[in-house]
Amino acid sequence: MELSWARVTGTLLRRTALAALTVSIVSLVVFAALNILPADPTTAALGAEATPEMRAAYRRLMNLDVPPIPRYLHWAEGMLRGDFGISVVSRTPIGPELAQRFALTAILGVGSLLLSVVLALPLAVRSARRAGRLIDVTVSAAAIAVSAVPEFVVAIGVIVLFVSNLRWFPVSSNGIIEGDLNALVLPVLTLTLGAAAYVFRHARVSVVETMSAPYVRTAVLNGFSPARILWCHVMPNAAVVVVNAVALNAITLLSGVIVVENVFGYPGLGQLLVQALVANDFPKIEAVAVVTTTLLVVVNLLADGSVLLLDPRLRTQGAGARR
Amino acid sequence: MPRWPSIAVGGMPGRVGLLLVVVALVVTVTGPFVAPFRHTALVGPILQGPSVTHALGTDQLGRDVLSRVLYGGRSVLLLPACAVALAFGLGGILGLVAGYRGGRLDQLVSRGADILMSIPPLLLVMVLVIPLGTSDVVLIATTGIWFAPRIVRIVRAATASVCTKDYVLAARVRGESTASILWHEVTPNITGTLLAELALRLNYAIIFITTLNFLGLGVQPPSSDWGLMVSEGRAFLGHRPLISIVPALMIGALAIGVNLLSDQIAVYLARNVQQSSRL
Repeated sequence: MELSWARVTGTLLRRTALAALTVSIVSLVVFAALNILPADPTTAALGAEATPEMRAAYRRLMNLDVPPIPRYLHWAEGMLRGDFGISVVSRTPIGPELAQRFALTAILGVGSLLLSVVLALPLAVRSARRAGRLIDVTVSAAAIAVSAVPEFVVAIGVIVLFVSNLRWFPVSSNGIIEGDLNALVLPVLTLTLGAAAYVFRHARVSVVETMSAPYVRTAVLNGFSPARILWCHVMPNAAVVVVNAVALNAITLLSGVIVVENVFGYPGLGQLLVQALVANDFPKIEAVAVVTTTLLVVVNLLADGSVLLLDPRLRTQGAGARR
Repeated sequence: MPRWPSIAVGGMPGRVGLLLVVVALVVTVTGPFVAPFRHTALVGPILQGPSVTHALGTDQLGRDVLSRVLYGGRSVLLLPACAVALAFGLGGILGLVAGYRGGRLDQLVSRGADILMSIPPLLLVMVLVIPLGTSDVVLIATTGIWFAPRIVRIVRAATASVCTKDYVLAARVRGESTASILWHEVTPNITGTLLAELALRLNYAIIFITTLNFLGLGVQPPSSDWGLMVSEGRAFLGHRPLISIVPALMIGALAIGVNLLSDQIAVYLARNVQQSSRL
């Protein structure tokens, strides 16, 4: 069992290639969906009542007279340079708006992710050590309930509790733009609950399984303190599971972000996407879709990389068979 | 041969799950027959509280909320069920063949599945709705195609592990056809895995499709659909919370019920694997 960094590099390169392929495919599909699939893109964007002048102006603005393939290449090349085009509704460059929205979504996503791990891990360890007792059954049941229902149902529950009954927080999170941190509470809470339930379920199973492993029994028989066994023997294994859970959770978290931003009016990428969809702002839809996908595959790549760093078993020869 | 129905309710979680699913099913199936009003009929003053004629009050257009809840389960059950059936049809066959044959075909199918799985589905559906519209067929097809690669993976792995067993080799030596081996030898032995996965996927499909409906990208007004109803009643949560809460609870009951049934089967499978490895 010899460590093989060549294998690690190979795996990471393969994953990076897959990530680049994913972004390219999504950009192709999005471009085709908005430019090639509609019989007349001007009708799709402007509606059936558009006048010929409006249509002509729109065709010029969107370069619609250029054939699709050069148009796609031109657009994709612009994206790579960081030129996201101009909104056809507000006539302003999309890039700066995207950057601001991106920052707000990142705060929401990273905050919820960190909080969920902080909340779920201690609970998972506690539940695992008292498996089958009241605390374990209660927390596990709550975790199942939260992870089984759609995010918007959780959001409605949060609103009913904290806005309608307790009146603690504003229901609209638009105030975040003015730096009102109260606006962050409900969206973060909703996302954290969902992510924490997911991390809890995975971490709990992992800790229960690890604690019954022969090497932990050996550590107990050696007379090590429970804390040492937990932190030096059990948790390194649980960490792998948690990072994996976070990675698998990234896609779910993204759809959660889209839902939660729209429920609470939080001005992030998810709300921007829905606003652009409603306004038929095609360049903006394309830009948000590509940026969000890129964000997602980068998160996945980082998680893959961390798992490789955390779990030496994946770095050894013959590890391919285990995955 | 294990009896899956009795296994699925073999523990407390499974029984609670069955109860929740049955409640949602009964409401959905009998609902339209017992509903006091049509779900689209404007029958009273708007935003009324609960009363004798309108047990759950009326909504922002003066429609009976109870009737809308009773009508609103069909799309929540049928669309995910069709989507999961499509995913299992597509993914199940590909996974069986890839797992049994192995080699180049397996490589091709697995890589394809990897790529499809890395694409964020909600984002894609939101964009595809523009040229394709929001018909039921689009919802079912996109959800089904999104789930298919996951089914491929699981069926492939389960099939590949069953195929190393002696009874499959024996069937091959007897000269049985591939289709016959897959159907008579492999399928019965991966039924448990498939059932647990089926219930879990149904859970995810319910989440996915109700979310699309909630965001206004699926079933359109004036249809009654629990996801759509939650969205429409959202603005009145402080004043008339029942408009949103009741359909939200129905979605919750159905989703949690299906999830618990899936868990119960998975627990049984895990226990059996442990036992057989201990022997």
